[in-house]
Amino acid sequence: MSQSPITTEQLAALIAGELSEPEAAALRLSIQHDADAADRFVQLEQLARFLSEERDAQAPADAMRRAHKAFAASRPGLIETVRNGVRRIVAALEFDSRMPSAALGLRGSAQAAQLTFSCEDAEIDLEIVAEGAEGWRLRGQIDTGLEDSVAIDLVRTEDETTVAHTTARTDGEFILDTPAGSFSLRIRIGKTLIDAGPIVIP
Amino acid sequence: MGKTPNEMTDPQLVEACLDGDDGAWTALVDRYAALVYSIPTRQGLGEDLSQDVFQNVWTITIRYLGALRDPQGLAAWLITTTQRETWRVARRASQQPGPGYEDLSEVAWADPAEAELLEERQRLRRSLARLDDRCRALLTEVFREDRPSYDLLAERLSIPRGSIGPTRGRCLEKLRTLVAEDDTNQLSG
Repeated sequence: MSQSPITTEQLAALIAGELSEPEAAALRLSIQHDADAADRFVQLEQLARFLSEERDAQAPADAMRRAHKAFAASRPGLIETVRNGVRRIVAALEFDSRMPSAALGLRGSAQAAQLTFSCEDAEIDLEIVAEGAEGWRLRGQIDTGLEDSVAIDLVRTEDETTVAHTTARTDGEFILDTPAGSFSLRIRIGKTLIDAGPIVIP
Repeated sequence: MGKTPNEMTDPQLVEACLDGDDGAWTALVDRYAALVYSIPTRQGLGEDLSQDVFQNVWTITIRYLGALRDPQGLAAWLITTTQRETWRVARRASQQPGPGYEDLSEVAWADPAEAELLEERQRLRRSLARLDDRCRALLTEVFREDRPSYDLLAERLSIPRGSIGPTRGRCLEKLRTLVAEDDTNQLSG
């Protein structure tokens, strides 16, 4: 006499720990002799693990509302950039001396840091050092491989305010003085806008 | 008839955002909110700090939308950006211990295995989003370690207590099928 197939409901009850010990043992034994059920059991266990944590991954309603609203404030500048045909590219953070290194356990100093950003159009090296009582100096060098003028803005992340502006020297060096905070560098070379950030100072 | 934002692919959503479409932005945030929010919480940040990370990531995303014109890898980009932002916020918190600060010394930055796991969970999330509301609500409650009693669950979801087990089985089977379909689409796409 053939046994009735193992249902998803039975497998779910086993995963949820709702069966008595004898029931669970009998079902586990049946699963061992049913390749299809064994496959389904593995898949359902994976789904149950995911589902058990999913509710905690939901952002609170207030946070969702703020994230939805954030777009309206930034939209005008965003559309302007797109309409003007500006090519906007992101320079990825390649190195931050303050970042924890899994291999070496190194820590950078809070009073000075080196960062490197890179993209197909440029390499940007930055050094952050304390300047005066509460200020900070950002010394940078940008290598574009071109002779075009390079205009640089330091923009505060939270409100998109430009806190410092300069033009790189012919050798690519530049200096910006800034307060503490989270910023990004906007580097304009002709119709290309390179965005490097976030840069956290200190 | 055009697609609604929820039906759009990631590249279509990004294009619509660049056209100034608020609905597209809302759909993009909704699609990836759980992915982004789960990263700081998995790393042990409290609710306040996790919300800081969450907000910062969306601000960064808006700024970089123009550079995401080939956003096939949007999930991967969001994972890296959120991990980096988590590290940054955690670092600042570790200098100023206070509410919401836990053990942040173990924050994994750009851990490839963790990134792979997060991408896999986002894939499952995409299938979960295709389930009907009742199944989704039931499944996200019934497997939690601190799940409510079946009596409470039955009341909350307006289903008879005795139906919870069979309904759970049917919903789980639907989800398993959706995940399998998604796998097939990925392979053929």
